[in-house]
Amino acid sequence: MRPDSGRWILAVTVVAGFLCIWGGTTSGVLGQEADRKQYAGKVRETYNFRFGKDQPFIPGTMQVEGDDFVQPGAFPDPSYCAHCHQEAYHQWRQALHSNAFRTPFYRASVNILINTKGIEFARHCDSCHNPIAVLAGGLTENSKVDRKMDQNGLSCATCHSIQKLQSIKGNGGFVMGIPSVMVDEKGNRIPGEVPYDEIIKHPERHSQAVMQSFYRTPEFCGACHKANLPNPLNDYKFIRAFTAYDEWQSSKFSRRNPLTFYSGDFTTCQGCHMKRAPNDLLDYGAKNGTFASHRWLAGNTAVPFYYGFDEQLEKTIAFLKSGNFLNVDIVALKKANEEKLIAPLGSVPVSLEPNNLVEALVVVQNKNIGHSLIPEVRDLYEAWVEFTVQDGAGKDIYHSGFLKPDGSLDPRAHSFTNRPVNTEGQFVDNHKVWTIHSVAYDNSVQAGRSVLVRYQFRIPADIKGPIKITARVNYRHFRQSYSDNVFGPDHPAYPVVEIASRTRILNIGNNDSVKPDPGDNPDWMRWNNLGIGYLDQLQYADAIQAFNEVVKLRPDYADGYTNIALTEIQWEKYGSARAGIEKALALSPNSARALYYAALLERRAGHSDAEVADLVEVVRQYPDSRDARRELGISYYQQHKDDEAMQQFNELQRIDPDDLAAHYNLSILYRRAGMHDKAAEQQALFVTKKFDPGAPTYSLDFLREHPEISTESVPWHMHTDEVHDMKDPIAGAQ
Amino acid sequence: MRKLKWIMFFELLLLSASCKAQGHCAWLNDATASGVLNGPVTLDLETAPDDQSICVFTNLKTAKDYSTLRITVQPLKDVNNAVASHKSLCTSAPVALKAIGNEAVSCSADVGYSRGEQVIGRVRDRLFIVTVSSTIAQDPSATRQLLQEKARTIAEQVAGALF
Repeated sequence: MRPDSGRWILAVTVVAGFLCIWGGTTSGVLGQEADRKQYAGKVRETYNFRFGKDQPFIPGTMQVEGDDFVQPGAFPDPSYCAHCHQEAYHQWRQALHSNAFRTPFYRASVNILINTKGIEFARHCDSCHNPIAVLAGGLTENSKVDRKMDQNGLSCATCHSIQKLQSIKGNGGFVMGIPSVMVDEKGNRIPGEVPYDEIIKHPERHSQAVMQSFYRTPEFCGACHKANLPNPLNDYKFIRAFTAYDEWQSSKFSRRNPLTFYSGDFTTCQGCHMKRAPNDLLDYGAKNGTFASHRWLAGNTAVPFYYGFDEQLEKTIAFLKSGNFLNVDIVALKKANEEKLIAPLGSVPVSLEPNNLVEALVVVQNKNIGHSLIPEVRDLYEAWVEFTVQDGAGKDIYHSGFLKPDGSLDPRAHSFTNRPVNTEGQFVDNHKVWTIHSVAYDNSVQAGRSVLVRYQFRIPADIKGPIKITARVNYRHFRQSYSDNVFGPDHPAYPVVEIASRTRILNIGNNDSVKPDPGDNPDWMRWNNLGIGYLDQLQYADAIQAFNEVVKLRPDYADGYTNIALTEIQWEKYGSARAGIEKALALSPNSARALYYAALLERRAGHSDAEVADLVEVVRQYPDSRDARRELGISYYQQHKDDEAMQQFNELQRIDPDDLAAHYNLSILYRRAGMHDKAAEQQALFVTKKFDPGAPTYSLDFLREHPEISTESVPWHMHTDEVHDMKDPIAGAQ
Repeated sequence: MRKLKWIMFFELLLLSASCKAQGHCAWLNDATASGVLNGPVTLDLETAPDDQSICVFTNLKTAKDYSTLRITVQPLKDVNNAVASHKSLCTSAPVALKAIGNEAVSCSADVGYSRGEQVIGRVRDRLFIVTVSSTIAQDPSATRQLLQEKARTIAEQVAGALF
């Protein structure tokens, strides 16, 4: 060896090492890009581009940086993340997100789509249930993609690689980046896995790669918790599937809607479903000993029950039963042939006699859910009111909402479910959403609202002792027919969880008023909720009466007067509505809610400037109020202020890209402004999204076949075992 | 003797190649099978009595050394005791598995010098048997535990396709 060869070797080693570090990132990126290009080219050779060469993921909305397929290996396996995030991994493994694809409850439905229409249509579902498979180009006939990712559904790298959100359209409305767990010192993303000690050395660079501020926003959840059935999927038209995101936006928790009946603190989806709690396992993501839950506790008990995830099941049941979400109130009784409403029950005396025919009014208030009950998939998930009246020995006098021996729900139960129907007028079983053409029945309790459920029962003539009246709201995944379809009839019974209930025991004879239970609403609120229930059943006189009771108990409560006014507006009693609004504004001059309804009254009276002034103030206070933006747009439109109107409808589309009024008005306004392409686009969107007037005929076919659901579909209806004699109908009833 | 082995090896290759052209397995694609068997696979599709459909994926190293993934699906006339009645296929005590189909058990499926692990399960009224086996001695990717995990993973895929 030459004497200086050692130095040469040292020098070459140092230079090579430097080049390696300097070029590591670059070569990693370049190598990854080359791998991707090669992989995507291979996929394209056999991929089914049914929906267009440039739209490989349609009917899903998902997009990816670089607009091409991504090799599945680019997504680190969750076990890689688990090394430092044991708590997250432990929770995630039991959560719905990790099981989003593999669960039989999902497969049973999506398999039908694959086997009847073709696997390429399943990109619509898998954009949110198995995005790596979609991005890898696995959703095509005879795919060459190793499907081992199926068992991980939404893996860590899926959510934590999303770089951007699209406009809030749902169906996977995100832009995926190439997964990276580190950025270099310049902030460039380093694709793929890196050694753990590198992450430990530079935790901030790890955070920069895997966390985005928008991950903490409701819009992030909205990318998938909002869905529609687009034309490429159903060969029909746009149909809204569900939108938990919009429901949240309309709730008090968003503080974006001035029209809610009650107000509350701003709370995001994550605020309820990713609550921080002390972590048991090592997790470098924990802060001050707490970790944001990656269980996403919600309503699904079936998946943890099936997989034997007892911890997840227990926590899900505890979540549902926490008592925060619903209030059940047996608010009033009414005896047959007596006009007087005995309300609020418990606060006023009541007298009952044997053989009385009694009507019980039950109010279910969605008190603190940031979306409806049930927000998604109401054709499969099942919530219902169970109402029992028992004698002193515990024997049923009346029972509605029971489960039959085969596990199916009492068909006359008051349920928070829906009945989508196909062109044959048949219930769309098995969640075959691509066949939906109409919805014959759709019942829920929207966030912050209350529903009124009426039951009628007869007290037995030989009754001894008190009667016990109980109303409860039960919940289960899934409706029995679906569980039977998935497993056949020989499966174990899936859990039914009581979310909330209220029982009252009444003596035969006189009952004095009693002290409220700790969970009871105050009487003014009980009246208010009853009024809301009446309003939604179009019982305007009763609603006004109930709201009048509110202001008697709370004369300082401006919203009580607004409630009277908005009922009168719906009842088209504009003159008397003005008195309510004036009273509300006298109590609370800046009330955006009162100003909104004031604007509607000003419009009616032809006071266009006052109308605009009120709405401008509402928009100033609530810039993300879709209602205010829509009405202000209409006001400007009527004033022929096209630019101002256009601005409002554009803002409305920012808030809700599917708003029909925005599409309609913008199509006209753009045309007037000579913007023909944009006008045509808005017109086309309006046409596909607008209600199909022919669709209800399918619903009518279903309702004719199912009188029990037909009854439920009428806003005012009674649940009763009493057989009403129809031989002598009331004159004129025909 | 050595010549005979080579002839058998090429025959197997030819047979595998011809079977590959026959079609696709309804419950699992080649790539996934390939991932489980750690290498390129050939597919042999078979039918058998009782309406059995069988997919056999083979990763052939030599005539003697190969690993196999065999998937059998058949309709059941009687779902009661369907899985229990097939436990005779086990060469070890069956262990009940959670969350694979309606019901499933895991057990060994050793045949001669071939080490195998299988899952016997049911989805509604269809029985499935997934067997992963290897003849390769001292293969670190085919330990008993890894074979069990692979059989379970593929059984979940097959059950998923059957739901």
